[in-house]
Amino acid sequence: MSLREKRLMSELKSLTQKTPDLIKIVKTENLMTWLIEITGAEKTLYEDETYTLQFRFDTEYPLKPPEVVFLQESPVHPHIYSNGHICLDILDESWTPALTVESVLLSLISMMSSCKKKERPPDDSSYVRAWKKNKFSPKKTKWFFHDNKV
Amino acid sequence: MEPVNPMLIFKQMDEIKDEIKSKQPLVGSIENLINISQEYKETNPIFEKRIIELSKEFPKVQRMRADGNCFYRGFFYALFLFLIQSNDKDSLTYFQKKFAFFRTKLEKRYGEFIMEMFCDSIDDVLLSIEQKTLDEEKLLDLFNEQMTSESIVAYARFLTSTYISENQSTFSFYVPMGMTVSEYCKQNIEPMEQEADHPEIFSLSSALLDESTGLAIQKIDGKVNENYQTLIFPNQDSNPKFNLLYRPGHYDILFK
Repeated sequence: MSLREKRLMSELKSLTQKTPDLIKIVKTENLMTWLIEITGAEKTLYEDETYTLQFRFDTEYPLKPPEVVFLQESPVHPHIYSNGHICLDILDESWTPALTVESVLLSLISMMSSCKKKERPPDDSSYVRAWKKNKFSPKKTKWFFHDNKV
Repeated sequence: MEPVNPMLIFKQMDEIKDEIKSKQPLVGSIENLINISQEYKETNPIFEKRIIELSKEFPKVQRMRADGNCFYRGFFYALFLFLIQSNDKDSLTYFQKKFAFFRTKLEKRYGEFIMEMFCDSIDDVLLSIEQKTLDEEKLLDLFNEQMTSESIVAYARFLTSTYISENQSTFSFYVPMGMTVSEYCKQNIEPMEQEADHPEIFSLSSALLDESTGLAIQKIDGKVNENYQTLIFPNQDSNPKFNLLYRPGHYDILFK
């Protein structure tokens, strides 16, 4: 078993045994691609709204971050593009190998919970137009993290 | 003026990174330090002169890939090489105890299954040094194996971060205003490819080394009236057992 598989098996076991509120593991038959549902927290703009996330782990996981995107409808949020790509520092340059699927999920829920106004990033249409041409992975995007508070 | 396309910038950065990857191994073979001085012949005669001076004491160098991990990778490579070459049972026992102590600490701080692969990568090397199945050539191969090499770098980063967090009073001086020690560690130490600076070197050396086993850094910079400067860690009185070369933004290993 590779180091990546061993680590993913441990993460899956831990997450299944003690799944935090608002998180539901949907599909993990293929260890390298997981589907997970998250639900907006109570008393936030996303209360009771459920979204599906796809996690993909390449051969360098956990030394490099997983690729994480929203499938189908993505939440309307200033850091989430309408194609499902997410601008979040820990999925890019601030990733550390001590972070896990669970810590990514909790960061996303927290990012949604602190949102004050449902709107898309200002460059949503140009970004998504560029993406439609060659469907690049969000890991190929150079993100600029100007505001971690939203 | 046409707006610069951010995708294009990123592509170029990717290409630079890929070029470094394809040209430089994670750890290179031992070569003559004088080779490095020649690279400065046209561009920086002061550096050229200083490296020539340094090569009188340290004629050989082993280069690390310039990927932001060079200090951490160089530190562990040089440490393991010292253990192999010195063949000193006491030193090996000392480090085995040290790493066992830190394994417990790291598991408690980050979680057992998360730390497993990183702590294992260190213990595997120590075990094969003890069993004498690891020689210099095999160590070089091991450090050029992507996953093992990067796991050791990640271990070095978690250890550095943990030591700084546990000795905040010593290190808070280095942390930029408006940032907590914990934020500093999460942003500047734990992410791969973040370069190490003085506090990280001081922290990792203080965690692992002592008076009898120290690290010397031979520092070359652009300052006037200085040849090269020798810095010894964890403190000035330690007896250095391995040497690193520092040039602005980069570390390699030096040999006498």
